[in-house]
Amino acid sequence: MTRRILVAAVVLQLALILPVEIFPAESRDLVAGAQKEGRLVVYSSTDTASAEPLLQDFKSLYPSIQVEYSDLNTTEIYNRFVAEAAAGSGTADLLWSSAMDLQLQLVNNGNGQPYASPEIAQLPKWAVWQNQAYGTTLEPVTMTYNKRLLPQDAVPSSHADFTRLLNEKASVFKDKVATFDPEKSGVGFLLVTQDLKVSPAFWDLAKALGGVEVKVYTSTGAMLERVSSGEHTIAYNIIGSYGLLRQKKDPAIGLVFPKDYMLAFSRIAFIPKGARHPNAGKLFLDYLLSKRGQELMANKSLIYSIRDDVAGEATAANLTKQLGKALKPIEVGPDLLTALDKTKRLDFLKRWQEALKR
Amino acid sequence: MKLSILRPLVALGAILAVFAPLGLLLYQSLLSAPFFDPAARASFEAYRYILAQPDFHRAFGSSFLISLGMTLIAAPLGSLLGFLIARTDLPGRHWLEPWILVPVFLSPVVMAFGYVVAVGPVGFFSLWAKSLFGFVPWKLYSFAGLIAIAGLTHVPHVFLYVSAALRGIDPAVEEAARVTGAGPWRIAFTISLPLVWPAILFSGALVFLLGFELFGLPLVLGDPAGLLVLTTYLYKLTNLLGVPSYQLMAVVAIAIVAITFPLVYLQRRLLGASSRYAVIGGKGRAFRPLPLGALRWPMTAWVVLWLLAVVALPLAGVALRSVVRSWGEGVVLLDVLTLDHFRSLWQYPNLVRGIVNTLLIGGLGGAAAVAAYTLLALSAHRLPGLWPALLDYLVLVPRALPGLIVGLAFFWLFLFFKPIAPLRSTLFSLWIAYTVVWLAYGIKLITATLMQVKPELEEAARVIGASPLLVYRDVTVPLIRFGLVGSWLLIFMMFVREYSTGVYLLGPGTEVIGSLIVSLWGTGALDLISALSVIEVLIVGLALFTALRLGVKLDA
Amino acid sequence: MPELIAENISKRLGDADILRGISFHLNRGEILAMLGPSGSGKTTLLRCVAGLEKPDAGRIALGEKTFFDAARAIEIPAEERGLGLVFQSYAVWPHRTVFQNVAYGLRLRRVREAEIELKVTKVLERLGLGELGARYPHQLSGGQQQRVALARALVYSPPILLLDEPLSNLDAKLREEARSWLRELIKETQSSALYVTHDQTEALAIADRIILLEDGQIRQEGAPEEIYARPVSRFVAEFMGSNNRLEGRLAEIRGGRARLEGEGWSLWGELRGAKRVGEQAVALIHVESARLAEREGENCLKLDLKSACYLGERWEYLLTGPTLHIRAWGDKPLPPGDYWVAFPPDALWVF
Repeated sequence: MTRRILVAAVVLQLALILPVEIFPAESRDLVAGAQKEGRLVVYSSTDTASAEPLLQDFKSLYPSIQVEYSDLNTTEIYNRFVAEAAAGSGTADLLWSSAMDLQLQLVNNGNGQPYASPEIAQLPKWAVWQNQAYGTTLEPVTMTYNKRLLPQDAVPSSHADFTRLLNEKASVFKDKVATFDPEKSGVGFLLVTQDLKVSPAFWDLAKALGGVEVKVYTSTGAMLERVSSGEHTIAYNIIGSYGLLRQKKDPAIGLVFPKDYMLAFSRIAFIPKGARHPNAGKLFLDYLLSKRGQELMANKSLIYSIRDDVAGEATAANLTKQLGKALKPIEVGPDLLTALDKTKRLDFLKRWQEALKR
Repeated sequence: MKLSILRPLVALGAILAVFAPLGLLLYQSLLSAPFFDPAARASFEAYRYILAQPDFHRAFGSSFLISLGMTLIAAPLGSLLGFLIARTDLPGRHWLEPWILVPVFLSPVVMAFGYVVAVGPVGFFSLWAKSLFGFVPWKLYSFAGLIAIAGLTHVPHVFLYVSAALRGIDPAVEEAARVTGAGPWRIAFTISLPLVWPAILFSGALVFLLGFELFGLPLVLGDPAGLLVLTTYLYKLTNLLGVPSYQLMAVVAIAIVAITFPLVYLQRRLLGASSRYAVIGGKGRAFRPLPLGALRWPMTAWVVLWLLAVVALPLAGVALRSVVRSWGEGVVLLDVLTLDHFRSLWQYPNLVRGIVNTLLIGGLGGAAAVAAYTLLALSAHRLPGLWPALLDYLVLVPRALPGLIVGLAFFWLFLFFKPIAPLRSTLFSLWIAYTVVWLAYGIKLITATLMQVKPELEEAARVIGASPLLVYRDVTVPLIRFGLVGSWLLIFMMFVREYSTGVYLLGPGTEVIGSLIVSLWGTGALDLISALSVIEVLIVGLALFTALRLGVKLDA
Repeated sequence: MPELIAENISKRLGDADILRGISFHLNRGEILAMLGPSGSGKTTLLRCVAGLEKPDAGRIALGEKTFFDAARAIEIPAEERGLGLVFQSYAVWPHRTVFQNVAYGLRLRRVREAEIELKVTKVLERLGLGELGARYPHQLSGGQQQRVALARALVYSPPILLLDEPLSNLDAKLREEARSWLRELIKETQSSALYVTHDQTEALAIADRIILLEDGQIRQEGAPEEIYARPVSRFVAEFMGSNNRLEGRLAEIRGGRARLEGEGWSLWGELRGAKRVGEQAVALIHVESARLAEREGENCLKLDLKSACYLGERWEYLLTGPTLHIRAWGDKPLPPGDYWVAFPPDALWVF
């Protein structure tokens, strides 16, 4: 017993000493400023379950900073921020969302403040835009299925496979397929519009989904729950990171990394102009991009580290190794904005509705 | 302070609290862009846009059909239940009665979620039925399923008014029919229920109105299949255009109010009629309940079955989901039992804060709301003149506003109006929205209590030399203190149960269990939802138990 | 010297005239009874004086102090009038002890605590409630609660005590005792009292002066004996006491007297109304004034005794003639048969 306490004490001491070693690049002014601010408000679409290890670690590094973490839907983040910014009332210090297009739109409209993170050199070029929007992860967009209900040999291995399966066994899969609702979910919209960009056969897939009366959800979590329970057999465009995490708890969950192409998105973080605690926001951004933070992402949060120098289960490097050219990272850049144009967006959604026969 | 100063202040505060959100909604609906957008100008653009949306028409049609369907289920069943409990010798009726009102105090989101786990496509009850029949004989995610559940869970609302009205009838009327040879059913359908027809009509209109305000049930049960009602359409509009489209949300909100307001007004007219009927006689003398004869036990079985369906089934679903890692087809429940979900709750500061905030808003907020309602009720207490009549209509306004909309309006108000902006991320913003949403209910509770104070008790103090404020302080309020405690308990439960009002106000500092559940529902964190739900049900259950022990009447 | 003056008080409630221009005064040390059937407006009048209702017209003043004047738009609120009021239902506050109930008026007047103690104890003792100060009202009997209400109104020595049917919730026996006790108490405390009641016996027993109200108007005003023995109208006569009623035709008027004729009978009585010979009229006589006579005499009728009822302290005889039903009292049982009944002309009033 005493030995265990002793070990714990040593670990604790190490944890207290570590930061100095981990952040040689961190400016003392920034840390001091953040600690003076004493508070950090984050609007994030990252599930609390995945974010928790990062938050815990950050808090252990800077115990004097009180972290307010709001787990919101991607469009909620966007709407709330726009309203708060326009009304000039207080808003978050960091926006961290998987709806890359919406995040970029906010930055593009001049809502971000530039900050050159000391970690910038360790990131792929395409992941940073104008020193404002930072891609923090590189996460696979997968299919997920219930192993109890779908035999191994019936599992589709590509988008084309999936379309064929749904068309051939429409009656079997009726009510049994789930996907994102692009009308309600920002990230859902991003994924299908990117699908359309990459794959000319996307509308065939959409029609096949309509043929089995696909059920639509606002989150991966909601879909995973229902695939896990067997209400749905398979779900399309699942954020693979959450699937991986869920798999640890529920062996019935199976993941498909489609072979023809696999989208990979990046959670974009930026510091808004109206941040009340900008230093704390910058500090947390640096932490997310730091090796220490990214290692936690790769091994505990499982939201796929974007850095090359990080080893672990969930890393961009692994994905590249596995999929090679089929991996299609969605780049952080103004290209993202094209689909957001109001009329284009409504046209797309109308076509989507028609394909789904809603 | 003198009453002559205090009264206009109270009146002004109430009018502001009620009309400011409504006014902002109306104003926003007449703009071409969100109110904070410099490009916003006055126009009917938003109305034209919404009215041209097929989704809006579908949502409107669904809302109407659901309202109609649930009224057609709840009104007859509630009336029958009222007759059975109030008038017959149904075995165990005294024991059953408090349970009948329990669904009123349960959060619809929690219930809906419970139904998913219990009787959803792979719910444990469905799987059991499947093993029995080879297929699942019902379909939860369907129009019919939604209507059935909405109807069954609103039976208590009808029961409440019908049983109260039936108790006001002189039993001699029924006894006279018995003597001439009528059986219990003939008495029910030809004497008792026709006599309380206004109460049935009133509660039917109430259920119809509530149908348009449904949010939790369609959100959970209708959304995956793309079944939209007006409130979920409004919720969806938050995201539809990819830019904040407040003007469109405001139009839908106004559309909902345009339907609910006439309904509320109609109800108020009906209430007048039903109270005229209610004084039929009845000296409260002991009477012999009508014997049901051979139907005694089948009727008890029916009531118990209904209770199982609307209370036990969903709660069992919630409770079960909260202690398993996974569930559904092919899962052996014993293998996946866990208490991790409850343990993990404590790792999320926002959830812990949500639980604490829920208790705060129910306890302190509820007490403050009761104080506000009391102040308001007293400001019109036994007074002639304009204000009491005005107050009567004032409280109708929030009744026509679904919590979701009030929450939205207050969210805007706290954004819009700079002096109160710092309060947005405090529980105060939530408290005022809750207080406005439950205004009609609260005022009804307090005035019912005040009515029991005999006017002479107050007049005696006046004549002796106490000013009106002193009379309130020394006589009126002390006399109703037990009533106030009861009201507080009821408001506590309503505030704990509330979920839709906090949806738009949810942020760091304003988390409460109800709106956290709605928000988490979007992210699919069912482990946490189930644990939170169980905690919410336990809090409400404890309050309910206390209320019953104290003899608080739930049917106010 | 008049203490309270009310002039021309009128009050409408909806379509109904509750009070139609009532004027009266109350002298210092006097007990004035407002007597009238229910709906006559007596309670409304009392509440107007107390300040609990607002008249539509008129003036109310206590000495120099104007309480209410419709013409000058003066209305002093109830709490500033300084009166004492005892309600029919007592209105004893159930959440306060007897002591606290009684002490409240003194507390409001910021009397020192020691003095409150003294005064409350004194008044409770005077009213026979000395031991009950710590009790709550629900632990008291009806009579005790009534005395608490009285003590509460008396303790701060109001210039006028308003009593609204204070005895009507007591049972019959207690009520009779309370009458004389109450009168004695008021006289002893040297207060003036406005006493509202519908019970004529109570009014007769307690009041120095009676105002008889009907339909929002004063019908007669005077000392108890005057009202009882010399009613000015048929209404007053019928309202006071227990009466025999004879209907007939005015046959003859001579002096102040009139002869009323019915089928097979004819009687002389005092003419009290403005009737002329030949008109239909009604004669009233208090039951106790109609007497059985030994033999035929002046103003006698021979009637058939149908039954005799025993009422305890006396017997009541029911006698009938061709068109008459007469009640009379006596001290012994009588067998059925014909008897002479005397109607003293000055006790038989023709209206």
